[in-house]
Amino acid sequence: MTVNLRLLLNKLFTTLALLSVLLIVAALIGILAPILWRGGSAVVFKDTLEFRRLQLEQFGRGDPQEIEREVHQAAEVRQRAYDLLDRFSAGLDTKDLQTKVRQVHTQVVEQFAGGDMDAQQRRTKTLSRELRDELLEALDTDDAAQAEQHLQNVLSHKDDPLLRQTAAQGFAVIAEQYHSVIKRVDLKRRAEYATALGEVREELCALLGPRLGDPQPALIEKQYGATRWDAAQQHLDRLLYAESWVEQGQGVANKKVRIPRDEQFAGTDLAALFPLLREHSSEMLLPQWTCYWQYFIDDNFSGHYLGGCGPEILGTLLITVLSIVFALPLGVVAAAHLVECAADSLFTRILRTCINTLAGVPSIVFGLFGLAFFVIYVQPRLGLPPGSSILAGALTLALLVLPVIIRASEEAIRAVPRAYREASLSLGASRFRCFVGVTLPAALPGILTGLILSMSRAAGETAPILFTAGIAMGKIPQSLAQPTRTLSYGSYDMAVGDKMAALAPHNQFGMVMTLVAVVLILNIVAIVLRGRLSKRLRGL
Amino acid sequence: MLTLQDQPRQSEAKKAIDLNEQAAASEQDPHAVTARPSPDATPVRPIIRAEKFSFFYGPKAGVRDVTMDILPQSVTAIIGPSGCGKSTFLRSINRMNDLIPHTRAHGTLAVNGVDVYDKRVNLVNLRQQVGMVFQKPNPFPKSIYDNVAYGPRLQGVRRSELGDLVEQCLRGSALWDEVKDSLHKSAMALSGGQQQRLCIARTLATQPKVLLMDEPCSALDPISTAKIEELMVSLKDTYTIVIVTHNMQQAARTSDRTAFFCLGELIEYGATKAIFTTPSKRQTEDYVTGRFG
Repeated sequence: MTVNLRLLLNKLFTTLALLSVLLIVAALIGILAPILWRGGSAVVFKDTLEFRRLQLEQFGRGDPQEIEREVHQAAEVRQRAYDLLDRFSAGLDTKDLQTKVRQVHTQVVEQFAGGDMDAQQRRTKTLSRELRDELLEALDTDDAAQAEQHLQNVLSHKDDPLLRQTAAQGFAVIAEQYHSVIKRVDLKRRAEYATALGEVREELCALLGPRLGDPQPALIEKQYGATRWDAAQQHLDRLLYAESWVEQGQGVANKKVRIPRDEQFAGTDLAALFPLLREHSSEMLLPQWTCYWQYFIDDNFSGHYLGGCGPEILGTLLITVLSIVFALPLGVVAAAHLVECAADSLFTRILRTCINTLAGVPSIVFGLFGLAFFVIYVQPRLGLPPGSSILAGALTLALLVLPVIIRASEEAIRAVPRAYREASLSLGASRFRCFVGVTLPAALPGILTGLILSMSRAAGETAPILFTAGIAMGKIPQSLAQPTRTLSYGSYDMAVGDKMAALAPHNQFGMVMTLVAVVLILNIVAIVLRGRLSKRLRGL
Repeated sequence: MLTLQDQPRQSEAKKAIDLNEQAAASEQDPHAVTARPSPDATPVRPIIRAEKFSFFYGPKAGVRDVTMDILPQSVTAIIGPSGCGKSTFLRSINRMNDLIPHTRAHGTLAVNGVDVYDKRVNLVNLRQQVGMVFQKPNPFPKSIYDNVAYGPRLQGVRRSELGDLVEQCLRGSALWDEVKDSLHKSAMALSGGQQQRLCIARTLATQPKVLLMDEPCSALDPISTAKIEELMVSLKDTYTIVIVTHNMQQAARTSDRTAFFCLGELIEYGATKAIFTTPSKRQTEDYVTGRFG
């Protein structure tokens, strides 16, 4: 091979190596960046007045006076929307008026109650009943002309001497009120309007929260409007556009069309609501950029709809650390035995095969084993309450990562130069003290590598803790015998079925990002530690 | 358990045991052996005594039927071509050969009257009494102080006395002046010669009777070699030194007695001057004059 060819091949090899490293880095960034970016939106986002109110009332964060001021400021603008709504629904919903009509008649009857009624009083009562029926008919009918007729009938009796000084004057008031309404509202479309109005009302409540002065709903998530500006935009969109299905013909799927609600309510009072919302929504909600770092500390409300993932982080850290506490000493001692004491016998070879096989067992099998052994068999015998517990989960995870630790430790211990061992023994150390004082510290970087790998695995594993320690919702654990929420299991649960969680996708992203971040941080800490140890061993 | 001498585990200052005391002690010892007169000195009890000692790596003999006495407070050099069993013999004295699997020893190899291959011997004690310096300097990846203090700490020396002991040993190995301001620094940062002197200091810290040196200068430059040879001469008064060396000039310069090994057998053993100027065996003469090896 000529020198030039060899040089060329060298350069080619270097380029390929560089490219592969770049590829790995690109893959890493390509996978991590979207997770961190989307998840970041759970922490850094544009919040609304409702969010700030939530933080103040539920967590006591924020300046009460400032929030009070903002609430008043927004209330002014919101009131305009509510007024429009009220006016329109008054025209639509006649039940109130019907009740009032009946009340008036009852009052009239009561006025004459007690004792005998004379002929005039009886005639008054009959007239009152007639007027009541007329009015009820007017309120009920869809036909504007008929309603007009009924109302005119009622109004014609307004100055009737029979009805003077009775409560029946109330009929006239109601009749006039309703008369002005039917002029503005198309009665035939009342049913249609009623449904659409219901939708609008619901969305408005979801957007702005319950009205000031209305009774507070019991569920926390209903007590506040849209807490995030991006969620608010979605509610706004549903407010401004109605969706309906249009037939495309036989055999063809219906097509979904969006109708602007301006059109839907065209000609009515309510039509003005929508331009108002479109232009002034930011005044109603007062959006602001915020950094909700307490996301990592707070508990969540109503199934991850609101709040943070603090308990999940705690659960993940607890289980991971506990599993390492069990696995590390056991693994290092096992590796020490394999290197220092074990002769090359059949037993040792079987042992090694077992350890290697254990490394390949699927994690769900570990989970089922943990359930069968730790939860069902061991826990009652230890006097612990039955059911999932952090302890069982940690033990299961410890078994999962044990082979990794044993393998890495064994390599590390074997790699310690014989010179150290010889020097130590020749100075009069027993084999135990030689191992503990010289070999183990020198093998520490390699052992830490195993630790890093196993910590990452333990933090992210879902299947083993599915049966042994994980719950989707529940209290923060008070002891190790209780189950806990974790980031991995929580992510799975939210993705699979949690209805509330589907309404708050940022929480899902946030949880996954937190899991990645927790693992990254654990790894970085361990890597830095290992780097320092390595340096010290090399004498720098 | 037999110990070479019973070391009290406390912090009393350890002094080298007077040879007369030792002689008195071994009068009652059933394993005591009588000294063999050596040609050019007053009769002195040997500190290491080998009698038909053989060592086997599996089926192959490393050394065969070696019989020699090593006298106290002297430098004994073991020379010979590669693979002649010098290191094997040396490492047998403090049983470092135990680290190699499938080996066995025959015959007697006694230190201070106690056969080291006796089953009842306390290895920890033996190795504290018979220290070893290896060919390649092998300080621990710890600080200089911790390196020298390793042995005494194993013996249970109190922390308050450790500092003095460390200084004494570092002075003894002519390293003190160079490292006295950086005792906490890592030993791996020292140069080769300094590391070897550190290893010597570390071995001295357990206050042994015997210092075994397996080609201590072969990995070092001439200046470091010279320093270590000076060291050996100064240490001779307190310790018994047995040195294996490839360098005949070094053997000639530093040792009192020399043993010549070849192919696992002890060919000739006697005063250095005699071995180098008037060897009695033909093989010795050939080796010493450079005709082979």
